Amino acid sequence: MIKKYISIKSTFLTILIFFISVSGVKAQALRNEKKEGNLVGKKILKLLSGNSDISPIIGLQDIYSFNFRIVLEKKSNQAVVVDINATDSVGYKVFPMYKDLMNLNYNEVLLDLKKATLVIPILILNDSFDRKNPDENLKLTKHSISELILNLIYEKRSYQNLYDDDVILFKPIIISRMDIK
Amino acid sequence: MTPIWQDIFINDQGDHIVYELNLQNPDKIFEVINPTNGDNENAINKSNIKLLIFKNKKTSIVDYGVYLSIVSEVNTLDPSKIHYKMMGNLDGKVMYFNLDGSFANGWSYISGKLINGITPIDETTYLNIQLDKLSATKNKGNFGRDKLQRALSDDCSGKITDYGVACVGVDGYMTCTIYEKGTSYFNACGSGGGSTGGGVGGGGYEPSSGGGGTAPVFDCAGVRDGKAINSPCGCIGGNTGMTSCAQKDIIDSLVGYPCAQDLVKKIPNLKNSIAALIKTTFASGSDIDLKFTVDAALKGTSTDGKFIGFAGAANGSYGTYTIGINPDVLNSATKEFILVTLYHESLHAYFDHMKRILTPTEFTNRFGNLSSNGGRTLFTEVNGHFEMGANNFLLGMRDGIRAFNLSYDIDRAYALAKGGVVILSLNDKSVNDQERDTTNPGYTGTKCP
Repeated sequence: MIKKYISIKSTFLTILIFFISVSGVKAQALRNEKKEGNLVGKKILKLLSGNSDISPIIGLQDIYSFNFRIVLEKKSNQAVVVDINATDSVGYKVFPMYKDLMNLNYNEVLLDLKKATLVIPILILNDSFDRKNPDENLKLTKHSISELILNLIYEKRSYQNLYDDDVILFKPIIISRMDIK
Repeated sequence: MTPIWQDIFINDQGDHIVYELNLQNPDKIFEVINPTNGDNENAINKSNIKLLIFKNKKTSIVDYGVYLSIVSEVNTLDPSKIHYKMMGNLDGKVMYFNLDGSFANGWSYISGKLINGITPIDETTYLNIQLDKLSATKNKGNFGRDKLQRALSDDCSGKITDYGVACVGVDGYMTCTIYEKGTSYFNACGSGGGSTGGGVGGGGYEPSSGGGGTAPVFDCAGVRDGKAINSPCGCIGGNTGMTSCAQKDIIDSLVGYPCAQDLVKKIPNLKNSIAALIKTTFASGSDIDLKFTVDAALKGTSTDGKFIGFAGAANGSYGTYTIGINPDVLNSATKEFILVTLYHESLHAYFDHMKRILTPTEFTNRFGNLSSNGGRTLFTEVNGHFEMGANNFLLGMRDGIRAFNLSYDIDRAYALAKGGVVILSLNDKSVNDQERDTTNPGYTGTKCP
């Protein structure tokens, strides 16, 4: 059996193409993300990237892909977070501050929508570079790549509902474990 | 661009001895006269820039220096055959720039024969000339193909695009960017206030009195008499739109270790090359943060610290680089040892960031023979540059320790800098062991209270 070694960059390119195709479905999503990217978007990035902790997953899987889903509703003309969850429980461990996402102002995200789900894709490359792997390659199969990408966007094992709701895709967040001493 | 001091051509010119130095030009800086799209590929082989130093023969004092820029308009240049006032078969222009980058004067040549003097003009004059030409071109249409053509004058005026280089980094591994510094305008049709072309002594540099008035002064944004200034985060002020370096975070999560916390505040500000890198990358004008944490998992190990990883936007434009420090080091090491550990791990983060935001080619162009696996520096020997590559960073860390404590022995500082980077001699290892654990005798650094 021939194993394919696919570089991280190729994977990202695939993800990027996928994102473009998905976000093309919802012009609203693009419009919203562009706006929130300047305001609440930076706060989301700051909160998640500045408070992540991968120590609970060291030595476990090499790659994790999942997403945070923040369900927003407009009440009294204000965007309110009615639910927040990670599609993989590892999200709660790596981002122990995730509940602080509820305290941000999402008015710029929701705009004229009454209800929408903000999806924040998370990719964790938990493969340490300490093994002196010069090519930065990971072993991925077609199936694992497909699953990796789907898990970034959808709820696990229930991939059918992307087109049912108003979904706002956030910029993907990456955690890259290095462990360089 | 730096002078190649070993490659000097000495030229006796009347009252002066002219020392002519070729310049190292790793960024392939070149000059283009009246640039048009697509001509830069060839232009680089038709341009050569030298540094001239004029030493007064009577006083033995250097009176002034000037950059000599030779631009061939026909053939590829052979710099070894062209010298000050000896232009071989040049078809092109010779331009002189004062050391502040302002255009002084120049000359046009055809087949090595001096044709015209070139003098600086201001932008308004240049634009008026262009308007006149435009007007003349429009009028030309009224004459028609079969009618008398209106003769247009030769193109006397022109512009020179001045390029500058902004660098940040350590000696030998500067991160440099070429940018358009500004534009100078000239009149290439004759006497224009300086010496007339073709006369005896023509072809040379004319210090500021020759052109009338003082040379213009440009700020770092390329604006004449502008107010912009260079700063650790680049060119700010003036019309750059940046009023200050927006201070960003070097995040201190070393709660419980006030001695180390104090050092975290100091690392970007101590005078040394590594501090400059850290400050530019993580502490000024960007959304990239550097975070120091206590890594309890390292307790009891020989690892002083580690670069844990990056979290943030997938394209590296925003995020946090996290570093973990061994609590044993935080508890027992001298300040000098803690400081060098902070610098060491910060360098890993710096290289990882560069690796993240640059293409492989750009990374290679910037760091040359220094390669990085994720963020780990690998000093691969290319043409015997191993020592130089390593030493630039080792010396930076050594200097960081000395900037913190000038009385600390320089050899011991160097031994600390080498820790974890190169294989240590027994003596250097002993120094590291002593400074790492102040509960043992032998340390000479500053013990944390």
